[in-house]
Amino acid sequence: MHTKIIALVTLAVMLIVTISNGIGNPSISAQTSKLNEGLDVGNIAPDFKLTDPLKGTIIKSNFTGKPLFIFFTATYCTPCQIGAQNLARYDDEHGGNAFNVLIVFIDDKETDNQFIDWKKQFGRDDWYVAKGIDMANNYHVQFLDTKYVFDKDGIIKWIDVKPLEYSSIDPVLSPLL
Amino acid sequence: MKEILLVRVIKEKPLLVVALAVFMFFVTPVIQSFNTSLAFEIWFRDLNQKPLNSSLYIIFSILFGMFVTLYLYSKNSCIDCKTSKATKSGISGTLIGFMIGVCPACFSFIGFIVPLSASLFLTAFAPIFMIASIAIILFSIHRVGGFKPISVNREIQP
Repeated sequence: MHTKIIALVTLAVMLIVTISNGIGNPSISAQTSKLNEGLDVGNIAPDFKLTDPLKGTIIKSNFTGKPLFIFFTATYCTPCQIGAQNLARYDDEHGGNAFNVLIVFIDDKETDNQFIDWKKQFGRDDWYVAKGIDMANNYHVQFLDTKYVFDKDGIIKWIDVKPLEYSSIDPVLSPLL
Repeated sequence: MKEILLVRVIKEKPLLVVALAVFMFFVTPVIQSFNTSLAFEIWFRDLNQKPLNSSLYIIFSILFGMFVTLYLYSKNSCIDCKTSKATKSGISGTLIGFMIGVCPACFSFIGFIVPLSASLFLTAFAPIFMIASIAIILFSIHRVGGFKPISVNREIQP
């Protein structure tokens, strides 16, 4: 019985570690240069329409001309909060206007006031926030902390689901700035 | 002289109980640390921001330590010899508690197993699932005979 339990626990831990590492960077398996609309790196990102509680309607073309960092999250997602703080620090260090940030909240129970409070606490005033459950479905978001980066023409350059470390931001954004 | 078996086990194997409780408490960030250097920062911020979930997870971890120690002690001593019956429920309670944890939607391997809507649901009701896992572990301790009084010579009272 002991052997079975130890084997079961070992297998479970190995599975979880493998999954944790395997899903770390879907962009590795999504290298493509086709300029078709789609959700892979190199594709033209699908259109979306959201409503920021303070800035009104947001569509994808609003962000043309600058890179766009999209963060799918919920206000209680702790790794996302830390990632947003790292992104805010990077934003500050690059003048606060070098790229756009769109935070898409995907828990239907959360409210605009919660989004605004979240932005005050973890983001920056010029960031866009909006509820976007349909957008999350269209973008096949499976995890909180999913991130997309578009270039200035709206082409997907990076997709990631790992907690956003400060050191991982510059290699993604600096070639686009 | 009578004593509850669980109390006896805790007195005889306190270090094992503590070690197992600490193991369960930190197993999630340890696993996550293979994936990100932010694992412990995330874990402690989660504990800080979700005090109800955190308190329940601490209780769950302590009970896990007690249950496994009791299981090993009873198996070695063959007290009541019912350990195999309790194993399944104990493992079930442990898996529920471990998987639901503090914020299931915040740790991405949960998202790999269930759809996003399910992990958001699990997060919203995490305290209820944690209470359920605590109840299952308590039941498992009961099945191993942990709440039965025993005499000093380890005879179970009828």
